[in-house]
Parts: sequence; C-alpha cells; structure tokens
Amino acid sequence: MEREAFLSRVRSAIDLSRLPEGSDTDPGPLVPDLPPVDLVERFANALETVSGTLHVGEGLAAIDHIIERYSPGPLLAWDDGELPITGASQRFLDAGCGLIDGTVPSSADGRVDHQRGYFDVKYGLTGAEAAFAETGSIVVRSGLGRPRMASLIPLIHIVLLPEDRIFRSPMHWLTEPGSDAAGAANVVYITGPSRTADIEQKITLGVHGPRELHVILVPA
Amino acid sequence: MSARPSTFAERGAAEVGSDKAKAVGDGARHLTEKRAAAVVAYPAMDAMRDRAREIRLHTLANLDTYVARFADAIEALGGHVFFAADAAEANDYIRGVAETADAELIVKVKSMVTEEIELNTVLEADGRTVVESDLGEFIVQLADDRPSHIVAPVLHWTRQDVGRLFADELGVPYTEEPTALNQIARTHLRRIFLEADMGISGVNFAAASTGTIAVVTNEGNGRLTTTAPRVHVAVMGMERIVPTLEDVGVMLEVLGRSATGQSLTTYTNLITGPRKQGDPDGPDELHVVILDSGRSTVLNDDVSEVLACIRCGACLNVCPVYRSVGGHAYGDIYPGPVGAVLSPVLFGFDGREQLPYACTLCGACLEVCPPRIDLPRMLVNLRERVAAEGDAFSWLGPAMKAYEFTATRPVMWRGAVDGASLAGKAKRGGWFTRLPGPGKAWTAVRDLPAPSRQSFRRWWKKNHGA
Ligand code: SF4
Repeated sequence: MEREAFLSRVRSAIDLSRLPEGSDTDPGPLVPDLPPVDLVERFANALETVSGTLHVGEGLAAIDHIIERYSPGPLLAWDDGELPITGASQRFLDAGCGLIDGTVPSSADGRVDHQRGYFDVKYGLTGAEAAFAETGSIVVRSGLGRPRMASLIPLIHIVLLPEDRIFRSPMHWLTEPGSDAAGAANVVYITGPSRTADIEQKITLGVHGPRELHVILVPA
Repeated sequence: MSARPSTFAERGAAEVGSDKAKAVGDGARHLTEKRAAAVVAYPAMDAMRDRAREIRLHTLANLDTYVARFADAIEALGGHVFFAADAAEANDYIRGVAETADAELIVKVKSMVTEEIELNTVLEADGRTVVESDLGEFIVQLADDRPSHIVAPVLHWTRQDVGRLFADELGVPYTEEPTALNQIARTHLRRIFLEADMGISGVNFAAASTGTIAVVTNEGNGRLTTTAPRVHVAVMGMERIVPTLEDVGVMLEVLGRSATGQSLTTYTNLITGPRKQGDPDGPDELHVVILDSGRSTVLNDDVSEVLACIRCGACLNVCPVYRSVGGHAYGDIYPGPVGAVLSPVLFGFDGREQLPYACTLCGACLEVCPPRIDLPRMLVNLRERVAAEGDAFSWLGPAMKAYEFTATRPVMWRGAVDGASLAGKAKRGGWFTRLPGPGKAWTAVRDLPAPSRQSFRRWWKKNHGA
C-alpha cells in the first residue's frame, strides 16, 4: 500500500472520543524512584540471581582461572583498543586459545563460509558500556572492532566492566544524555546467560547463546 | 474469514480436564506467581504501569504521526520500509525480498504477527525452508502443533512428549532431561543460524524518533536471527510503536516483570538500522514491514484501547477460563482475555461470537495488565454487540444468559469459582451478592449461588455424566 494511503487510513480511524486518555503530548520516560544502594553490591546480587558470575579484585587473572577450569578453546574477541584494559586477549592466547577473526564478509557466500567457523567458539571477550545494579544487566554496544557475535555465539562470555559504569537501573542509564543508545546499529542489555523455561517451566541455561556469563570488574 | 469449524464451548469442552489443559493451567499459575514476586520486589512498578499506559494511549491517539516518523527514521538509517494494508500485501513483499536475496534457508524468531499473517506457509509454498528458532516454537513446528500461549508456546507439552518428538523427528536417542533436550536443540539450530540467508523477526517495540526496534528473547535466538543472516526482515503491527527510545525503556520496565517475573528479559536487543560502515558483523540489509491488517478498524472501535497491549501474557496466566481450557480452545493465535477481545474485532465476529463469553468477569486480568487495559469492560461491550446481532447467537441472549451459559458448563463454572476465590471475593458455601467493577453487570441480574466446589462437581458428574 502507498505510504500516504496507509497513513490517511490510520488518521481517519483515530477517534479521540474512544481514546479519551490519549494526551496531546508524549508523557515521556519515567526514571524510577528507587532506594539508594551500594551499586557494586547490588549489581553482584542481581547478577547472581540471573546465574551470572562477578569477579571482583581479580583483574585479568580471572581469565586464567576461567580457562583453567574450562580448558582452552577458540576465542572471538573485541579488538584490544575497544576494551577498557589491554592485555586481555593475550591472556587467552598465552593459555593456548586460538583467536577467530570476527569480521564477516559482506558477500552472501563469503559470509556463510566465514560464519561456519563460529560453530565451536568457546570464549567471547567484550567490554561493556554500562551495567544496571537493579537488574544485573550489562550493556554491550556494536561498532568498529566490536563484533556482536563475541557476546552471542560463545559458550562462555567474559565481560570487562569498568567499575564506574554501574548505573542504578536501566532508565537511569537510558535517560542519560551521553548514553546514545540509538547511536550504534546494535545495543543489547544482557541479563544473565541464555536461558529457556519452555519445557515444563524448568530453567535451563545456554540454549542458543552463552551458557556462562562472567563479568570482570576493572578499576575505572 | 471462514466460519470456525467448532465453537469455543465445543472446543473448550473437549480440552478441559485433559492433560494438555492441565499442563497449561499449571504453567499459567506458575507464571502468575513469578509475576507477583517480581512486582512485589520492584517498588516503581505501579508508577511504571501508569506511565506505560499514558505513553501507549498517547501514541494510539497520534498513531499516524508516529508511524510516519518511524518510517522516516528507518529510511534515514538505510533501511527499507513497506506499508502493508493486509496479510497478503505483507507476505507478497517478504516473498519478494526472499526471492531477491535468493534465500533458501530462512530462520525465524517467534513473533505473534508472523503467525497472524501465516508467513511460514507462504514462504514454504515458494520452496523455501523456514525454521523457527525459539525452542518452544521449534517443538511446535516439528510436531505440526499450535502454540498454546503467546509467551510460552509449549506450555501444554510434557518433557516426555518433547523427548519422543526429538527422538522421532531428529533421530537422536530418547531423553527427557531438559538440559539434554536443550543441548539437542542448540546443536541442531546453531548451524541453521550461521548458514541462513535471511532472518525474520517480530518487533516488541519500535521507537519513532530513532527508528530503533526492540526484539527481546531469553534464549538469544532473537539476537542470532537478527545478526547472523545477511538480510533481516522485521514484521510489526503498526501499534508496536512508541514515540522515543526512552519510552521503549518504560515498556521494558513492565514487560519482563509481567510476562515471566524477570526484571528484564535476558536479551533486550535494540536494533537501530542495518550494519554500519566499519561494523564487523550484523545484517547488511534491513526491511521493516509495518502492518495494518485490521488494526485501523480496531483503532476506530469501542475497544480501541486493546491496541495498547504489549503481549506480556499476564492476563492469560491469571484467567480462570484460560487456566481451565488452555490456549487452543480460543481457536485463534491470541488466546485468553486479550484474545477474547482482540480476535473478534481484528478477524471478525463470524464464528467468534462466544469468545466474549469466555470470561467470568472476575477482573483478574485488569489487575495484572501492565497498561491497565480494561478487558472486562470490553468483553461486556462485545457481549452486548453479539446479543444485538441476534441470530448467530440467538440461543444465548443478553447479559443475564451469560450466567446460565457459565453455570451449565462445568468448565466455565469452575473458572468462575477459581477466579472469584483468586480475587478473594468468594464466600464458599454462601452467595455472591455483588462483584466489584465489571462484575456488577453480572450480579445485578441475579444472585449467583457459590457452590461448595466438591459437592457441585460431584452433582454435576452424576447428573450430566461429564
Ligand atoms: S492485555 Fe495486558 S495483560 Fe494481556 S497480554 Fe496485553 S498487556 Fe499483557
């Protein structure tokens, strides 16, 4: 249908007598009034509730511990320059992980061939734009040197989160002038590892996305 | 729309008491408990619900403006917009996109609107393979079944059912262990995500000012579907729009808590246009199909507020009738109280005359609905219209007969009793004298004897052989 015809059909269907509460102006967002908390503590609790793990005070040594526990495997990572501290990818390589190229060709065939190489990605390494104390979420933003797949395809997602990026709640971050959540092609709030409760309401983890989510808190 | 093969009452009578309906009832009760816990844990819930309502109603009252703004924003981002008057136009456009993209393998993320337009059937008729990636929808597709819930499609399946299905259809050894079943689906679907030529998603919310679309899933299939394939097609009812991305934020505050008791769904995916210059991955093409298909008719109806629905499913979970008969009895893809309102006005009353009566007017749905849509009032409105229409429903008169309809059907009766006690309004062994709010219309007609549950059911069984 032509755009104008579509829109004029909608326009003539609007009957304000049937939508008496439809105000003229957008009421706009609401930042929730929540009790003050220790942001790190609250975030740690909320992350645990959604089956994620927080590493505080370990620094990059946390990466060694994780690989020791789960053994080395292929890594898909953000570029070093996009991470809040340097040397994180190197830790993986030193421990015997192989680095997978995260740049997907634009051609249809090249794309599929490249992505077939993602099947067994074990580790994903990314930074985070922000985190929410109320929900235990992290915010991951796409862009140059930041493959989306790094937070999506691996079995274990490892996030480097600067300590000063924890916000009280999603709305506290979203309404910040600097958040620019529409400025990237993809911004995702990740709240724990991939999960489903489709079969008899039993929660199981890692259905399509990561089975484990490790957040490493790094000093600002 | 063709006439339904049977009525709600016939379908309901066939379903009630079955293992399937019982499983749906248990699941719905479980989800209701989870919602209640999440609401208690979040002090801002009431204020957010009010704001969500205000934003939704403002958007509906200015929908043409926001649809236009949203389309402009998508185009400015390099995306394509198609305005579909009806299902056929939407399907034709998407067929064309698939043809141009030479898409043999298409992966989908669960979406009500693509089920509404029956997109899969159309694409499959063109020889394309369409795979549902949500675990529940994948099961439904493998089994050639229908979803029983808008959020949890296989609420009516047991783990043993799933184990047998996977063994039969996927050729894997039988297991009924949810983690193992999950792993089977992961391995099977992972290849499909990575190799699919096209991904099709619905849209939970869309921000008019920025052209951002929100696709939320717990499994990560929403992200994979909208990231791995070269072409992403997003299909949305035009009422999914709100003015800004911050307004989308308000909707997200209430969606997860109301649907599953989660403060946020695991993956809240905000997509603003196709892959940008320099982005290492993401889809190269984005198509957004904005669908009317009866929505402008609903917008002009007495029940226009139902378009404020955010598809959380809370009204299904809490509904005594839904809990008794399950999702399939409603006959359309939108079950429960919201379906009883939406389906007749969206798809036509023909064959759906009984849906407005699939309700005990207990008011529980209004209690839980995040944007506080007054579904009971709307159901009364639709009953009046059905009654005024006459012949198709002549055996069932106006409001007073609603009681008889309910009382002569054990399904409904049980629903009524459960619903009333749920709301804490029952006087067991006594009489309902007045129900609050919408129930007034009902009890004003005559007092309703509240039977002691056991004795009434025993009596019923003995006398009617149910
Ligand atoms: S009508 Fe309300 S409770 Fe029901 S699905 Fe829609 S938003 Fe949720």
